[in-house]
Amino acid sequence: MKDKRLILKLKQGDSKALNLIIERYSSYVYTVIRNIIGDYMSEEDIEEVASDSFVNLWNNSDKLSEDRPLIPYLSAIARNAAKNRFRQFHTEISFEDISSEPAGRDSIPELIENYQALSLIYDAVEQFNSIDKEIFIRYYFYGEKLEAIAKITDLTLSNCKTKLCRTRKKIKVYLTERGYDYEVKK
Amino acid sequence: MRSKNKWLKDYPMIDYKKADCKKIRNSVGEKLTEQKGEVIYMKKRSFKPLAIIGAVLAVSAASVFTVNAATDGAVVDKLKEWTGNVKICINGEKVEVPAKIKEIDVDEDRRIVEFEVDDENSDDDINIEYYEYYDESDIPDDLDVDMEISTENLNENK
Repeated sequence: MKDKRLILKLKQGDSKALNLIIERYSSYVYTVIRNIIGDYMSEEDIEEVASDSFVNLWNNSDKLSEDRPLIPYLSAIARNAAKNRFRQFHTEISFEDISSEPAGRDSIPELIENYQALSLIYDAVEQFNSIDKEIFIRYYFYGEKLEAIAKITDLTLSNCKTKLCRTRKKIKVYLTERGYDYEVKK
Repeated sequence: MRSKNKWLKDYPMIDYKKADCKKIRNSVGEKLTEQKGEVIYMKKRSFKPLAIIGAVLAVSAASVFTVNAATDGAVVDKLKEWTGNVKICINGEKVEVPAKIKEIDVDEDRRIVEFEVDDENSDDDINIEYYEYYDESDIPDDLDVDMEISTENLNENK
């Protein structure tokens, strides 16, 4: 069953669709979470966060659009669930430190979780050159660490950070041009 | 038209790890049950109350009715033709109603059987999905279904 049909069925409250999504994407969600908080959490905790992510997907299925890919949204949910679990158990170190998020407020994860903005981000990402796209996808959709991304892309860490920073700015321009307020409204 | 998930293949994840899907699925089921008072793994589509008891039903695993069918490899076809009375225990009260197997799906480690129950006191179509999970591809050829219907902990379906 294709994702489009799975999303349609999920929106109708079909639990079989949820089961199929779990079967298809549990390893992906697990890996994203492990990439983000794996150094600080046990395997059981990571599985718990993964299941939280799918529960969240079920509870928010009405927000989904069958015309958009599921994975970026799943990654945003997983990232958010990982962040919440980390903050619940670790007060001595900030999530921003372990995730190497930029010093200022990084709106991208929240924007990704906003399904409308995610659609625009996805379109914007498609227009990046291949290396910028890879860094962005690996960092925000896969939860991979910048050190690992730098290694696999054969760039220095600082070069990788610079490219990611530029990419964020490009997304800001892209969203603003399309009438989207870049700053996330709470 | 390009695939919207094409980049998944373009950029394989670093250190991708296969998760324990069954464990995650069970955990999701437990959380949703807790959240909604609903057993989702055996939730049926267009679930409507049996007029016999006039209540909304949830289905949970336990013992009551059994369908056995030995097979010679054509189990799905044979089982699809199965019709008969099934005994369903609803909150401890046993009810016998005509039923037939509507659909059988087999995945890698799972078999889903959808029963259609005919309740003469109701105009509603009542379908019950029964899920069986197995390790890897170790799905037996025969079908041995045990289940109990409970009206507890369910007020409405999503």
